[in-house]
Amino acid sequence: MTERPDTGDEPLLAVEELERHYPITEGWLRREVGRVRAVDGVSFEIREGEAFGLVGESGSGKTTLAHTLLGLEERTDGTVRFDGDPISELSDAERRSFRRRVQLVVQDPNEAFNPRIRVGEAVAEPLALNGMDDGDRRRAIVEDLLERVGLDAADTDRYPHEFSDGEKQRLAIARALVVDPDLVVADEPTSALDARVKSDILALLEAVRREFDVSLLFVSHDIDVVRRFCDRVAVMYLGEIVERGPTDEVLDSPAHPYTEVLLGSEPSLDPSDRSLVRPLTDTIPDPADPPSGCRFHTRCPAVIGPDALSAATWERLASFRFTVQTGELPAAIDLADPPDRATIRSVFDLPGAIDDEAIAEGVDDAVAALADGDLDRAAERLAAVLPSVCEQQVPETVTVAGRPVQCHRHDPSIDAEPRSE
Amino acid sequence: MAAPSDRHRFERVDWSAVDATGRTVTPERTILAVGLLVVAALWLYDRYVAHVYLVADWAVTPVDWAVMAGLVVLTAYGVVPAVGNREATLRVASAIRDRPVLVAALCFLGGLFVVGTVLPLVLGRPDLNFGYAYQPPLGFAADAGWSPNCAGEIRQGAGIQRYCEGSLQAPLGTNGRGQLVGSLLVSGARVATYVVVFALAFVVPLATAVGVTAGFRGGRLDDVLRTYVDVQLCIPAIFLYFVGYMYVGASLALLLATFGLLSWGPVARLVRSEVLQRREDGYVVVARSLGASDWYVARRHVLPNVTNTLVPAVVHLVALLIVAEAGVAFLGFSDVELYSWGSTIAEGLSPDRGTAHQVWWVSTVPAVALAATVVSLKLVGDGLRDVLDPRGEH
Amino acid sequence: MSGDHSDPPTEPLLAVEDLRTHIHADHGTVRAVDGVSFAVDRGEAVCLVGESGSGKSVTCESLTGIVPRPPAEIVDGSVTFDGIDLRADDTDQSSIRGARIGHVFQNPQHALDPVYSVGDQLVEAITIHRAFEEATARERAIDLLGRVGIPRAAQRVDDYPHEFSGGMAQRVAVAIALAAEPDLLIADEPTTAVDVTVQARLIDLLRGLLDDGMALLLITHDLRVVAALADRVLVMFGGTIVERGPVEAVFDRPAHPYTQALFDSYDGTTRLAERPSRDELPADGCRFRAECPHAVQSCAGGEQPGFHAVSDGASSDDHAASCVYYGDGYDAEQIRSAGRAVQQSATGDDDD
Ligand code: SF4
Ligand code: SF4
Repeated sequence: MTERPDTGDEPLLAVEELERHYPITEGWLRREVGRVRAVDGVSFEIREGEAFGLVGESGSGKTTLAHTLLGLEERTDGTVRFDGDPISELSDAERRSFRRRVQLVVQDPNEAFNPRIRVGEAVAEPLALNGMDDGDRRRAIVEDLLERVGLDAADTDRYPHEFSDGEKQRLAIARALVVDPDLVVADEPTSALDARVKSDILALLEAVRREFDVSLLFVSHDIDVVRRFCDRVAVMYLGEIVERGPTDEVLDSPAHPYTEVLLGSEPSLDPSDRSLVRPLTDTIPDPADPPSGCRFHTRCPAVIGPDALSAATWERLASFRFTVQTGELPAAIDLADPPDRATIRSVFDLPGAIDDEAIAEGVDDAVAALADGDLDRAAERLAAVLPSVCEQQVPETVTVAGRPVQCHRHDPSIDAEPRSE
Repeated sequence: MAAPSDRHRFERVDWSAVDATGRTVTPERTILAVGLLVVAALWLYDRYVAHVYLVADWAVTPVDWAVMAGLVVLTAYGVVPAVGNREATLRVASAIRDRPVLVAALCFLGGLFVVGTVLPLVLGRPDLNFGYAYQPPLGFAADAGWSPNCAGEIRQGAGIQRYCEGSLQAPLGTNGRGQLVGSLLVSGARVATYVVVFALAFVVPLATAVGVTAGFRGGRLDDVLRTYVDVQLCIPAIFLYFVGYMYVGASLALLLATFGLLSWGPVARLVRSEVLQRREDGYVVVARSLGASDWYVARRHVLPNVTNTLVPAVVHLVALLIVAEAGVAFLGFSDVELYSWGSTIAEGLSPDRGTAHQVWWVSTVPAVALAATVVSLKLVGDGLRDVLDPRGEH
Repeated sequence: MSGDHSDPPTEPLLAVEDLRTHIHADHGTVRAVDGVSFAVDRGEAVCLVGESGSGKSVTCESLTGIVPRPPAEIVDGSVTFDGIDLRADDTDQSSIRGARIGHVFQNPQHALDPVYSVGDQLVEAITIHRAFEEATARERAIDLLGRVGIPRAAQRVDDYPHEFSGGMAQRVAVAIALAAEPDLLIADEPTTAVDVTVQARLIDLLRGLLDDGMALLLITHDLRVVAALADRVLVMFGGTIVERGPVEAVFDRPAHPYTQALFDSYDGTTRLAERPSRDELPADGCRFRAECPHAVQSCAGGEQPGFHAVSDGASSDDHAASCVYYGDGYDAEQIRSAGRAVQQSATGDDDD
């Protein structure tokens, strides 16, 4: 550690407002007709020796984020500082050093290794690519490292297919460590593994973290893994970080409704507790056309409604509105042969009397539109009479119990309380 | 695993001392540069100073120069890596040894290569000898009336029919001009070898380069290259050859250029689609995150993994070119002086005396050689595909 | 195994006795399923839990004979489904498979043919076992899609498999498995490749089917999924079942040392364990012997130890483990307390 440049309190990695957009192009001239906002203004820091978790569903942009940090994807905007220096301004020599100091472990151990290359050589590849030409020296380092990750020095001469998944993942970790990195980016390193093997790999990573004094960026959709391994965690949804903080705090008392949904979707180990949290709707919106305001509002069980409505009424109406908007109509409603209004009302469990006249009328219209088989008109009507601050305004990042959260319910300037069970 | 108490025992690498610029001087590049320089120097000398006679009275033609350059390329990027990576080569060699069919096919092609490159220089052109036309091969007999002389025994048949027996003087017989079919075979082998060398040294790398570039770069460049390949696939090579033929006449160089340079599309496509598939594989992503160049990744990670499809495709391409050359020669549009197998077959099929089946050896012997070459190529293609896959070992 | 009841009124839907499937590979024969017996009652959810290589998938594929033969060979055992002997030569397996037993696999995109619309595939699945008019079959297809929770089924019926997300494709696969109204659904890791949020919906879907009276044989490596769905649990290791019992009992008192190890990997701490790889599995005695912290002399030799009731009291549940410690003459307390410890650390971390 003493060899490392003195960085003071500078975090090892600082990401500020990072964006990665993919242009959607059309035709021969590749005219840009839209953008997939895979990563859209993300900020976080990883401190030295820290394990930082990044969780989210597939499509949340977490892997793209990891690849963008590594320079595998081009940044659209924002800065990434490593050891205080923006990586976009590195000289060639510094860039090489950056590439050595940040290593990647990929998800699927079965495709982590070139099947035609002996694992010894594969693990040594980072050394060779970093200019170590002395084959004997490479071999010595690799043999030593293989033993450190629980394999045998003699394994260097075997081919990848001769190893089990867990062993391959050990090899992948060895390959990442071989150039003595400061940060290892692990992209779902355990999601293809069995529970006990997973447990072993996590234990190995933990040991490695202490022994080699590396920081870890842990990209995972597995909350169990993050819970037991990461010091801090950021929750990603549609290219944005919605909540970030120390793992215990975030997972024990989630502030953002999306975090709650994510945690509540994981079945409990207690067979007598079989409740699962349901988001309002199931469709993950298209990142090329993310919802306005809060991106989670089409699915958020806590989405904020008009003042005029009671919580219970709003809950049902919100569900109605966003179900219609996303088109997730239940089987009972076939638009080609729509049922009558009464059926529609009962299918959606709509409240009979709504205090607010405009809303009541709008809901009636929407039901009528549905009974005509006109989904779009129904959605339009509902959007008009049931506005939500969540769809109109992008939530500011506010600090809740010392950690940044992006949700109107936690914004003191918005008239809505966090829902707490 | 040992308790992680003895922290960080392994050799500390002083990274600032390790040269990370990558080597620019590699054995491959050295050989390539030196070899090409020598060929270029010889060519310049030949062109501007005096004719070079490398061996005996062999006047070096443009095709010869091209093939020499091709041999340099093949040496640099075929032989040198094989020697440098002895271990892998030995593994492949031992796997080959277990497959007698592959060994036989490789021996045949190896023999063809030696015969095609060395023997023509020693033997020179097949000599005309009208006095000994249509001599049958050893062990066979033919009508003695077709030729003024008979090198072997003359046997009396029924009535006035007399037969000329084959002799050691012309073991494979002779054609209508008294040329030894054996010599014709050797000349044809030279043409075939040229086609193989040209294809492997120029056409395949070109196809690979285009495929890799299109696959890795993507975007507009990919569009352009893909469209170009599509267009190219629509142009019949023979048409272009005939256009050229009208200007320069029959020429092997023209044939190689038109057929070779119009036929690599399918291989390029194949490489491109494989690159696209492998690009997302973990080991490629890791290598790229380490700053490896596209070429490094292609050569080390992509191409070795696509040998399953690439090797047979390349071999198919080579075989196709050989057959195309023979076909053009058969039609009579190639340089007759080269004595391609195709033209010898054509000659044997329309003899000036007797019927084609009476002088069968003139056409059959080169036809067998052609067929054996194509079959051997196929066998080598399939065999190498299996041998190169370490998972196939058992 | 109370075979001497003459009038079994509660004959199980599926009864498997001593099933053995061997897989012949270049380097020898693997006893992938090595004497497996269990039963699934009507409307019951049974979970077969184990890790890759434990033989759980091969077991289920052997039931209806869809295991690829060769390399696999079903060497012994009986499979009785609703009184029909599935292994008898004169049983037309294809009339049971698909019709009365549906299969769902881990990767739905493998189960769906990319060149046909999901409607076509559903119609095919519907008409394969029963003659239906084209139009009726299509209507049923739409019904099925709706039933598995595909929104706007009437429109989506003409979509192609690639137009469905992973979770939705899995629903389509379930719909196809349900096409002939099977009595039993065999689901092999159906939620492994999907996100937790999607998994939660698939669990809801399977629960709904169970409520409708279908029986479920679920194969998984995830104890959480087991806890969410199972009535009874079978824990598999090394080709044999090592523990079986009602889900509450198994999750409350994991009894077999292997089950305990499985729970232990959920406990939230990170410890390094040394364990031999799969091919070093002992050939005789308890398969778990090489990794078992409690192994004693008598664990070696002979067959896998027989099942012994886990609870010491006269509890009526059939919670049993295949471990010598629960037999006569051993003190099982040591293992019971180990079970309590892992159960507490695994769930203690959980109920926050
Ligand atoms: S801002 Fe609104 S929609 Fe978004 S998470 Fe908060 S409550 Fe839900
Ligand atoms: S039988 Fe023996 S080895 Fe097997 S689980 Fe029980 S104690 Fe362990």
